[in-house]
Amino acid sequence: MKKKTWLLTLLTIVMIMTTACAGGSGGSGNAGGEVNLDDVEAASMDLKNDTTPIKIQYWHSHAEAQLEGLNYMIGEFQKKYPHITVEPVFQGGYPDLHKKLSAAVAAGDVPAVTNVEVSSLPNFADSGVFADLGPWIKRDEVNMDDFAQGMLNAYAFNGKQYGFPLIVSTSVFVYNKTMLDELGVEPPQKWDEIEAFNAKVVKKEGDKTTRYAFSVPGWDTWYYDPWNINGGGQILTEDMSASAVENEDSLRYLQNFYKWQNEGSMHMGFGKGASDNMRQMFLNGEIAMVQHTSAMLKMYRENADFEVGVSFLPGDKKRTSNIGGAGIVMMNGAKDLEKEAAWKFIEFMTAAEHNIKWAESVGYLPTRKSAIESEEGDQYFERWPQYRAVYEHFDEVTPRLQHPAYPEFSEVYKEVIGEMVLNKKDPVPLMQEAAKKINDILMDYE
Amino acid sequence: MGTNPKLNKAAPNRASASVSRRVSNSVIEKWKDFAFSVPALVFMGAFLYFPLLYSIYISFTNWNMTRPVMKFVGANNYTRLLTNEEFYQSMKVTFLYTLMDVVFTLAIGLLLALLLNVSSSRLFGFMRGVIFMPYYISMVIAAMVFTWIYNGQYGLLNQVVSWFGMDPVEWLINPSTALPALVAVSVWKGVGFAMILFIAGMRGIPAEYYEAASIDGASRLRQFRNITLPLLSPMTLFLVITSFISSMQVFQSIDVMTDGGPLKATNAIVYWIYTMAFVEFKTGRASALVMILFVIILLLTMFQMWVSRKKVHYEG
Amino acid sequence: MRDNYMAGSAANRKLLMALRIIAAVLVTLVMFFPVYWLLISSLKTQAEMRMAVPTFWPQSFAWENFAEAFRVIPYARYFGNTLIMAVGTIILQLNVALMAAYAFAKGQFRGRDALFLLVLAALIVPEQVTFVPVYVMMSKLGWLDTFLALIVPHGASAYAIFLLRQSFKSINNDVLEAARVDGAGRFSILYKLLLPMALPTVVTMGVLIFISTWNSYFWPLIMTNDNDMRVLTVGIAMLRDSIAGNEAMFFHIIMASSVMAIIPIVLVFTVMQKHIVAAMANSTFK
Repeated sequence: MKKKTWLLTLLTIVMIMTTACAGGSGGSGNAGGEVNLDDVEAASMDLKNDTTPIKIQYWHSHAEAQLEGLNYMIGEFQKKYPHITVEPVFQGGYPDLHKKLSAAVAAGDVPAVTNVEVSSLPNFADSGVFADLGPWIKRDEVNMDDFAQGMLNAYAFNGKQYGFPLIVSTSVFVYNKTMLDELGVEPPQKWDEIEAFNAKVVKKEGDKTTRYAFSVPGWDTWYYDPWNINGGGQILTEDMSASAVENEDSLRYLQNFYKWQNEGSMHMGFGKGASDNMRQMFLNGEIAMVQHTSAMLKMYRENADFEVGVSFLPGDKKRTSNIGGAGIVMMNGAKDLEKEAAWKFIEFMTAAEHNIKWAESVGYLPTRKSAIESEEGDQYFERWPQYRAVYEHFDEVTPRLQHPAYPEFSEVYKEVIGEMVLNKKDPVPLMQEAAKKINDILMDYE
Repeated sequence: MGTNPKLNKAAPNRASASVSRRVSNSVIEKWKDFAFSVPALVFMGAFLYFPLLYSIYISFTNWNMTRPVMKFVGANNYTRLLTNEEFYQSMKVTFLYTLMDVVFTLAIGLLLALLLNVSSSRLFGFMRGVIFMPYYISMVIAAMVFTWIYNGQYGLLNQVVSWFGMDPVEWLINPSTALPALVAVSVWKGVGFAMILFIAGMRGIPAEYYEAASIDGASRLRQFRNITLPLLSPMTLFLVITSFISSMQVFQSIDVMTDGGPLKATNAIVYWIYTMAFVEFKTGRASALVMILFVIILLLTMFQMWVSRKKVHYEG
Repeated sequence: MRDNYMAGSAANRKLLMALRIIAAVLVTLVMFFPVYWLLISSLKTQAEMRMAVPTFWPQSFAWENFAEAFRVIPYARYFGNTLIMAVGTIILQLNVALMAAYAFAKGQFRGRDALFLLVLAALIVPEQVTFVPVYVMMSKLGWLDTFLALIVPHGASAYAIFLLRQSFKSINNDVLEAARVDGAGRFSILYKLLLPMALPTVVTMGVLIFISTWNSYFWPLIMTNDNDMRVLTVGIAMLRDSIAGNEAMFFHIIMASSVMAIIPIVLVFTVMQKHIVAAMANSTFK
């Protein structure tokens, strides 16, 4: 009796296993790479001139405010290529988009073209999820020099161009110009100037700061990675094999942050919702200057009851700010004809022709030098004088550190910032610990 | 077990049939009975046990969902997890959450049941309905409302707290308040359900028990302790086990309210599994964590059942 | 009545009851407050939402929040999708559970209890950990972006099977035997005899399935990519994403769309509340 019960259970399990194998073999094997296309052939002239009607999906993270611009672009695209129908599908914010992309890849059922957040590109590209655009770029002789080099490089990985910058932002200091003018100070351009700036701007009641000189967001490493670089430091060593966050130069910015935070002149937010807090404190005049993404400029301009200025990040040994936002890429798992259509769409979306109009409608930065230098570009800067500060440093806007494990190990040193912000702990000893964990993750990676 | 004795009694005409026919008949009957469980087993097999077995297999590989290659890595995923301090932190968070959630939901649910068990009153019926309401409001929506209530700057909670002369708190950003804040949402959503079930249990207790007890001069408190509580124990066990299981799997509120932060203070296991698979793309390791979680919940549920065998009073 | 107020004088009893009512009303108000907050927040203007001291009654009713929510969310479509998903799941899950509960409670076959344990063990598997293989399966079957992917994977619920089995077990076998002698088959015994007898539990199960399906978020999020296939919860969460980074700026709109999403379920419960609570109280939850 007992034996038989077990037998039945076992049988059930075997039955289930059979189902498992049937479903499983397809699931694991067909993950994009199998298609194994010869890229040069995929980018053939025959396909270029093929006008068989085709429909492709474009997965995106364009927020509500960008939809009007997107619809305009798709409308224009379809005028130019009537045989291609582009179906835009909003997939939520970047994290949700990436989840859906990886699930789609696992299922072998992918859209032809999609957005990808810039720091996740290496991970996907390394897995062979995205198509190398090289053959198409060569075939159609795209003028690559017209793009800002840093922006272009952010979408290349291991020497291959996987995508183009589509909605590009960078972090800048947004400042309360009315207030700073009254105080007679300019935003600091060098680290050396920061303490003098603090001294003039900070207001205190007893021990409590009622007006901070500036704020650096702690909730996203994107904001302080450039501080590390500008101080002469690195996140990983040159060959990307080991952590460098604990090196002397890499700690300079942190020591400064810790000091400025403790003396109450610098504000740092951490955690979910901290972004809203920082913005509100800025709008209330409790912070004179906030580091934030350039994509928020429009929001600041619309909601501030004072004049808003923009300044590039202050530099020290170097002066740079990282690229943010998303690019547009082609999925490797798409069919040849879909890829051709996807390429046409990618080329169109990033062409110089609509570059300014697109950038302005979505609130991100233009990417094409010829567009910026055009008459349309001049008019754009008249409407958005704040962006001039970015374009004066066009070539100092650089890609983030490109490593497939970046999303994982950046969490480790982000925690250190969190300990400093929330628990007022000294980040220097903590960073030594963090370095060990980062090395561990890097070892684990391959 | 075996064939039902009543069947033979009720069907005397069958006794005349040959022995072999009876046997084959009863075999067919058994298969027919079994057939009724087949749809459920097929659904569970396909959508639950297959994924689970598949996860066991994946947990011994370094698979990354987006990669075609899959390498067998032995128990590496398990050893790395079990030697990682983050694992113990996440376990601590999960257990702490579960403990607070189960205890508060049940205790408050029971108190509410005692307070609101007035069967003849429309007002009380209405109030029970209102208290039950959070149960059927989506966690996504509840979490968003509470995010706003907990907001450090314009939140309602800080306003309330200020009436008592306390300083405002960033409820979801402060590592020591974030977890209790999540528990509060879950308790708010769950107490109505617990209350209804407790009331159902209380109404199942025969009134004579209380009458007899009060004739014996037992106080209300003693009646509660000696009659109500023991007779509610099957219901309590049901609630403990179901809310234990769902608390151990807390995910939605974390996803909306804290993203596992601040400083991993709310990084419960299922949320961690999810980020491991989708942010770090370590499907293999995430699967190993699934297995560990599965075994832990299974063992603890069995433990609860085992303890309850001794403690739970079933009527009759 | 049943409330066991036996001790004390009449006056004492009245006082106790008054205290009880006061306490109950207070508790009810506290429990209702977040819902109230949701309602009034949905009618505040952006400026009023961001006042340092929150207002407990909207200064002016910003009905335009709802117009805006309607503009962003194709409400009728999402509502219809949610309803189809919920009703489909109820029908499938209840029937599968009824049959399984019958087999596990009244059936006579070897391995019955072992199989039942296998079913029960399903309670402890969160869907966040099984969905990848299921997603791949759905994709292979071409079921993504269809109601099949939303409904079929939830065909069997351990919870429903467990509760219905408990309910069936409490029904005396003699009744079944009598029916069997009259020549009733299994299906008619199940649907004509057991189902009516276990009706409170079945209704309760139906309600619980409706609640969990109507409010489910994770599954429909993953299984649908098409705008036209989204359900209300996903639509609202997407709305939140589509204004990402600007959350506090648009919270009044999020609240308005949330109100729109909970109105149907609140209506159902307000109308049916008496029956639902009665059914729950009478169902077998042991």
